[in-house]
Amino acid sequence: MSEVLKIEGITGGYHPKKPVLHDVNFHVNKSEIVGLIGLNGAGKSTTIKHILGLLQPEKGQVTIGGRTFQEDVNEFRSSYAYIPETPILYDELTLWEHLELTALAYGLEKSLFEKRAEKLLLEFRMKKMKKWYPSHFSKGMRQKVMIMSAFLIEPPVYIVDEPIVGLDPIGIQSFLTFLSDMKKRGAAVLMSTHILATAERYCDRFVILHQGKVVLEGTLSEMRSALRLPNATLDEIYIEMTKEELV
Amino acid sequence: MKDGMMLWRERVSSYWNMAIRYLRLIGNSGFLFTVYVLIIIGSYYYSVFLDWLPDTFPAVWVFVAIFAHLLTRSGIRTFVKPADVVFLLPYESKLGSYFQASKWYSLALQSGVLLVGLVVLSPLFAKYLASDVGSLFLVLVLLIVVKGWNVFLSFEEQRFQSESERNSHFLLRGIINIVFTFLLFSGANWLLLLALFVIMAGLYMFYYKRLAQQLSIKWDHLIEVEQGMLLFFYRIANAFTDVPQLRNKVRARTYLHWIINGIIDSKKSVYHYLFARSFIRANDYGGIYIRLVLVCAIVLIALPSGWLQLVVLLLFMHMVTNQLSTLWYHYDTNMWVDLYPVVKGQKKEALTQLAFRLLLIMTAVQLGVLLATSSLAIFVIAIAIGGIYSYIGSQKLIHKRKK
Repeated sequence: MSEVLKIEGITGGYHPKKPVLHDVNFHVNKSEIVGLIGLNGAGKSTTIKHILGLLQPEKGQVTIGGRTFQEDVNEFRSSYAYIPETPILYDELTLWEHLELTALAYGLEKSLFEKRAEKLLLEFRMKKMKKWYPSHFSKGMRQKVMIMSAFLIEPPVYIVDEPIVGLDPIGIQSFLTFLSDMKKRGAAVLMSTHILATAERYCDRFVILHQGKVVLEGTLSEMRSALRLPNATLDEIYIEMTKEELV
Repeated sequence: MKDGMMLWRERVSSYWNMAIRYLRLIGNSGFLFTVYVLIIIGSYYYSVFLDWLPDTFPAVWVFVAIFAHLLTRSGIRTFVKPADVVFLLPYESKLGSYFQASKWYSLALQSGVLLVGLVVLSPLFAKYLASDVGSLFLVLVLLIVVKGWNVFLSFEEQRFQSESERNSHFLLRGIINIVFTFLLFSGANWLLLLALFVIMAGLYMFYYKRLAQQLSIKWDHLIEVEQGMLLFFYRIANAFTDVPQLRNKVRARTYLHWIINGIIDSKKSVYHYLFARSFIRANDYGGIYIRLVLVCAIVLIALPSGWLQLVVLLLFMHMVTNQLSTLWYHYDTNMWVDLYPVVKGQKKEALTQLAFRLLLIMTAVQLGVLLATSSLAIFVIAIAIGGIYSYIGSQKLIHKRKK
């Protein structure tokens, strides 16, 4: 298996004196969905910001397809799509224009763009809202715009931060179907989430982050045997790993 | 629980803290310099204009129109906030002193406006009215007294539920104010003025006071009025600097969509795409541009043919450039633009292209005006000035303030 997204020994955060992450190591393979799991404040969003190149690490490096952010900014940036935790939209652009802009930013051809965009609009039931401005959108609809923009590009890597909160059940279903589809076609997906039941079903492997460190990683069965809890659910493993917090 | 006065002081001081910060920004901006120049030019032509006015000029009616308008339009700054509907409702009965304070506050500010108006018009007053009316100071005092009457009535008017009732009372005040200002500025018999004052006092005592007892305060309406006034301030401040409170206002302006592809190669890059749309729909970039172009045209028409027209043209182009430069910061809080895989210089190039074309359009409009109102020599020089400034402004000046 080839490692597409690789996080190597990342130490970093917002202030050089107070790093949030301590020597974080993990990777995501081709055709794989990895769940990034951790309590609030564990460092999930910070990790993601380091991957996106929005934060610069004190130590260590992130590579996508073997290339770092520093080596080639544009190559690096065009190789992933990001779905943020809270939808960030342009107030002055319509839904369709958001898609059009994304296509422009990532250099998508017009015919390909239109084909994909129409399909996504249909799938996420947003055809009617094509010409709407974000002020008329609900939280779920805003999230759908983010998701559609990400799937539009079909990049090799997806960075997904808590994607399904606020979506309606059909939206969740469409999202997960699309994600699995992309995975089958070879995409590497890093998904941060608190919804463990969903994670358990869709993720191939997990990285549990606690207080800025990777405390456990592997497939569900690997983690079970590591903890010697043969029948544990992801919830139980998660609680087991973050227990000291309670003491 | 806090009492009404405390709440009032808190609101006023937080408003002024905000306002002063903006006023300081306005003071520091190069924009103000332009305004000074316009005032100096304006005051010169004002005196020329006064000399030119014939002796039969109906100055009284100018004063009646201006001051009746200023008196009747007596909005009350209440500093109420949308959330007050939830949190202050149970407290309404104890807010008497709060609203009393807001009336006096509004009276003080609007008296200031009356004073400024009177000072500006004083040359006109001296030339036409002084002999009949007498002291300007006395006029001011009477105007302020009537302003007070208007403010207090205006507050009670806001208690009406329906717009039509408010309008009819507004109209009533308007008519009384017209009569008052006419009596005042035509130098009518003092007894007539006195009689009018008696009527006004009676109206307040026997009608409006009763209204106040019968009708409750209409919070939603007060909040709407307050928001409108706040927006007005933001709009003014926005002419000089970027006001984040206005940032979220988006208008579709579908009728301007042809511009998007007409003015800029909107499909050329992310920034070309974004700037074109933001210019038309977000904040008031487009609105300010159009207004500046129109005001410039009007000033050019008003000025006599000569080099001053060229100075004004340059000043207005400078103002437009300043305004457009704020587009640069429009996406600072939006992380998408940081994530797109785009080439570095594109943002600069896109802003330059938009600014260059907009400045050229502005030049073309003003050249049309100059062709009709000025000499050929000025017209030709204006072509050169407009072209050169459009280039320098969009290539260099617009990027000047960036770090």
